[in-house]
Amino acid sequence: MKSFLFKIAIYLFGLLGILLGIISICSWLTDRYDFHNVHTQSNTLCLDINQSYDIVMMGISHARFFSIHNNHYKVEKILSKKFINLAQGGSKCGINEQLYYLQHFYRLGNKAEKVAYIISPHMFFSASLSLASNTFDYETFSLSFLGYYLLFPSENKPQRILSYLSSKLSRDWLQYRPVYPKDDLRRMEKLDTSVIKTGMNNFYDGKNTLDLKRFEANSLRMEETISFALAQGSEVYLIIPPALFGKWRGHDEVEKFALEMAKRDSVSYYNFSESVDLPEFYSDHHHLNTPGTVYFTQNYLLPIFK
Amino acid sequence: MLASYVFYAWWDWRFLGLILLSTVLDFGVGILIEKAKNSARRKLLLSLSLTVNLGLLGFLKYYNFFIDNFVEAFQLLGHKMEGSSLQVILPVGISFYTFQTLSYSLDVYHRKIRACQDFIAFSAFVCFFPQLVAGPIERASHLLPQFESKRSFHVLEAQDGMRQILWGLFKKIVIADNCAIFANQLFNHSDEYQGFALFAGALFFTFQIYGDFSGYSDIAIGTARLFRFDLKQNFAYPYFSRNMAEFWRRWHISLSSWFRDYVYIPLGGSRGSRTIQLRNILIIFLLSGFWHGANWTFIFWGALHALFFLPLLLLGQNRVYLQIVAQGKMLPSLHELGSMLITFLLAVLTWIFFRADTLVHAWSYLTSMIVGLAAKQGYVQTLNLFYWEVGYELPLLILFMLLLEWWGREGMHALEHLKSGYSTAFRWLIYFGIGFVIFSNGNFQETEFIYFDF
Repeated sequence: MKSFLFKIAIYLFGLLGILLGIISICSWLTDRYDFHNVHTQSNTLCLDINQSYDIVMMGISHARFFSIHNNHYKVEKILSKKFINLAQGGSKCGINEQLYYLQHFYRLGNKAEKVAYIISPHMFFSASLSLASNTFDYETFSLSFLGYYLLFPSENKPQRILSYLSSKLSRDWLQYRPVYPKDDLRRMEKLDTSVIKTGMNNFYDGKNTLDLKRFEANSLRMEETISFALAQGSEVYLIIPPALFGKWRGHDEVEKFALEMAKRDSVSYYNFSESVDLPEFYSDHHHLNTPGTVYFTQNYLLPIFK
Repeated sequence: MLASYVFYAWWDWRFLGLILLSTVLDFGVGILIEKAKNSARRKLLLSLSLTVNLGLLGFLKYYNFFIDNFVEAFQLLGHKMEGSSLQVILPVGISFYTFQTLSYSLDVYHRKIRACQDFIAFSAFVCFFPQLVAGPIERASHLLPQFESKRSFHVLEAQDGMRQILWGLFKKIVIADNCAIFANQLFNHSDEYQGFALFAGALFFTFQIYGDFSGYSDIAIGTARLFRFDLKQNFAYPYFSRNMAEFWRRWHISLSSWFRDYVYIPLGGSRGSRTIQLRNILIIFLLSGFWHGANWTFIFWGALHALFFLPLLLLGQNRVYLQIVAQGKMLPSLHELGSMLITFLLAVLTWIFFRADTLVHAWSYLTSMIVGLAAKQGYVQTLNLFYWEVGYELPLLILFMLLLEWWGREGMHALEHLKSGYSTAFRWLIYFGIGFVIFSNGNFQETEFIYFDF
């Protein structure tokens, strides 16, 4: 029995060693390229150690849009601030894993004066964002990133870790290179209510009701994120982004929560949901295109980040 | 026994009652049958066991099917009728453990075995966790004595069990779960594809169901071997069969042998006139199809297999291939290769009916596939599918599985022959290689075993 168990242990540890070795090599093969926020949605490919930033941006695609499509440099120039974007688009990261990214950011010895959390209301209600297993598929492999995540409370953690590790062996990762994008000049002609009507449910897990239980859990995680950022000496800005249709479903609940948070020192709340109503500033009903991003940054972000 | 109950309760504790009912009933019936003095009483007791077990299975699995079909049949005749379908949850593994306990009652009745006097051993036999939810369906004569006797850890058995588990995991996580993605895509959107693309979908399902079910069997048998329990071989390389009769000796062996022993032989088997023989074959194939689920597609699948089997029976070819193909040789002869290919293609054809949602769906799938073979569009779709979505890894992994199974086809599982005759370095290379492939190419999204549904 002992020799059998010994052999099993040798096999499992040996396999783990081989896997981690190969994963590390594959991770490095892509990591050796010089990535910046403007090239990728990956955070670990861009994050350095002991850096100081004026602003850390967090959220989902509505926050990530300040970096992709060549927008990052434009936003930095308008604000005259150095900023880093930790937000994740592509419906793969919820509030919980955003907190992990922020912890990772500070763990690397980085500092930020302000944390700008773009709070798209549906991220509070969506189960698919919280449960997405591909969250870390484009993150580099490191034992510390993995190790701390093992201790981090999260839903669907085993699947996410498996996906994180196995993705390093995929062709997608090995062929991943910095992409030099062009401005996003797609533009909407007009608001199409029928598209919104059919499309809106997708953001709420196919339901036309609000998942209040999930909202409650996500609110707690958001509160933790705010407390964590404050503890690191950062100011926190909660910002509801603009959408062509104005308010998202669940806006009132999120606003109530944000107003409550804004009672704390160094926490501010801004509702810009109805601030940009010109279709030509959008590439779809809720994503700003490059001119829209420039317009919004100049007119709404600049005054608060001055 | 307790571990098995916990295992089952993990899925849904409410259905533990059903297993307990079957266990208590058949344990009691077994003892009473053995004690009964006259045959009328024995028959009565057996009928009780059959009625309750098959009644539960029939109600939970087939109630809606019969109600819906009766209503449809009456409506076709012009009568207005309404039936009420029930939202019945099918308890996982019910078809497996019901057949297992039934075999016990039947064997005691036929005096093939003595009634078990040890309730814990009997309960463990009914709910033994490795094979509880998807087989292999064990016989009391084989498994029960193993619970009644003392066992000790056996290192070689355990090592081979681990090999079998490793191979089962490979077939399930790498082959079946990856093939499922494309089989689902092609079957669920079959109206968008044609010709060779649909054939590729049928092929994906062919490997999915084999990887899924034989993978589960390997994991179950291997796990049991860690505790030194010997479960029956359930799959013996069925896709290397040279005709359909051989296929059925190699596919889901525990079910086909169950039907053979408890239905086919009592009906007269191969004795009697040709008509009786044909009737018996038709009955067990239809029953086998119906066992898989309450849908006409399964029944048609069984009928199609009967159609392919019957000519072999009539020509006296049904028992010509009792040994594995090319035994003791490296490669098959051209004739053997051709026979294997034809049998495989027939199996692929039948799987279309098994996988389709309805008979209409199966028929439209089949016609689009065959008619579309002449159209260029189907080939373009196939190229696009493989170039953009499938890639080269999955076909290579399927080939790897087939090669390894061919290499190990004379053993109980594909890796069995690794236990001797190869250097330690080579063996460990294979183990690490398979482990690595499971990790790197496995689909770790939650996908249930197909046979949990049966």
